[in-house]
Amino acid sequence: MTAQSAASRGFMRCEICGRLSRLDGGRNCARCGHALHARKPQSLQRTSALLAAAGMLYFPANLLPIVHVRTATSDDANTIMGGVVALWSSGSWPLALLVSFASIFVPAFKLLILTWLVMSIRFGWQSHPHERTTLYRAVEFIGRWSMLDVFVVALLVALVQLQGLATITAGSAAIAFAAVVILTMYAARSFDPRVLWDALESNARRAQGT
Amino acid sequence: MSSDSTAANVETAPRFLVACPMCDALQRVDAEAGAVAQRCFRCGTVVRHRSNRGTDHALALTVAAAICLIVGNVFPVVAMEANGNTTSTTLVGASLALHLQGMNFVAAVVFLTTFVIPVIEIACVTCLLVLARGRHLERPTGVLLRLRDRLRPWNMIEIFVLGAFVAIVKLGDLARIIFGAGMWSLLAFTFFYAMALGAFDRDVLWQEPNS
Repeated sequence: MTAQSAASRGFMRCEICGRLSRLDGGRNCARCGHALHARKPQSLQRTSALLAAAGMLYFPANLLPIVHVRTATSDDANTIMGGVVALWSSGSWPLALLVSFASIFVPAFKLLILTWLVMSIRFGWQSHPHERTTLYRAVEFIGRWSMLDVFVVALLVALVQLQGLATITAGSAAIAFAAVVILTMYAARSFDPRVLWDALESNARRAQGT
Repeated sequence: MSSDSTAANVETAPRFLVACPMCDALQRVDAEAGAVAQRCFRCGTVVRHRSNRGTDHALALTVAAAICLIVGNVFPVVAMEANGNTTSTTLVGASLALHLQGMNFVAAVVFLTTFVIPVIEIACVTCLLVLARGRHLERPTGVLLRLRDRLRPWNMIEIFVLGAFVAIVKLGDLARIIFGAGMWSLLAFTFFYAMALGAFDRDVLWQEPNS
């Protein structure tokens, strides 16, 4: 069975309720009232712009301190990487792996994969649509979990307020880091995975000579 | 030829034909299938998911999750004891502490993703299920479904719970850490809410079912 896209057969799917409508039927879904689009509008431009913004903020997020720990005798500024090293050297290596995965690996993975997906569409690649769809699904699924470090910082800041002994305050990397997570989540959401399959279909049509 | 038969089927039996949300492949699904997830033949994405648990079952789980969310916000999430001093924080307290340090953007992100959005989302799901039990009003159902779709990725309670575990281990050397009642309630919330969404059958929202 050869696959045909709904768009090529003159239908579009409502992204909210799933109902199929005719391309010439009207601007809004007859059932739930949502605006209909065969493909997400300007998805490549939006995704590229959000990715560029997130990529720029990725550097301050990792280079600036995310927490300041002040005790009676010292004032330490910790970056994300420094926090991972501290967890590792204190013996809790499973958590060190978890935090480095959520805070360092996942944001970088999201930026690289989405950039590669956008490029694959721009250059009209047709190979491996399944694998590219799986990568997109992975980015969409794990993207939210990067927010982990922001919550850890929020809890540390709220708990460690021992006057005279130790206080923890949030560093400026927390702002950049939260912004990276939000921007990459929007970038993933504005990307339209159906476009990954469109090149395949137009090529098949060309091959048939119709 | 095939295009004519496809078009004819949409006119007569729209419930049989769906488009994959991931790859847009047009395909038929079994309208009478029970509680099985039907997958796209091309990319494997679930194109139709039904549950035979019933709307009341999903509604009961949603209400249970809502109660856990309220309890989780009233009681402290974690408490810390060091040198005879005890400090504790609630969910809202964590974003308040950030706000007091001038970290307003981060405070707002934490406040929205762990309090405001979960509350609105669970209210949306409750209203949707109540509407589905009653008169199937299409416009309010559409509005609520759209709002919920926007909010869904920003409900981050389960990530906050994991973050609390990490924070506790980080502070483990420094002080004695106690899990509060709020923490267990939030953990229960994530389980109840996941079960409620598993039992939530989208077809009951509409009188004319179509994935």
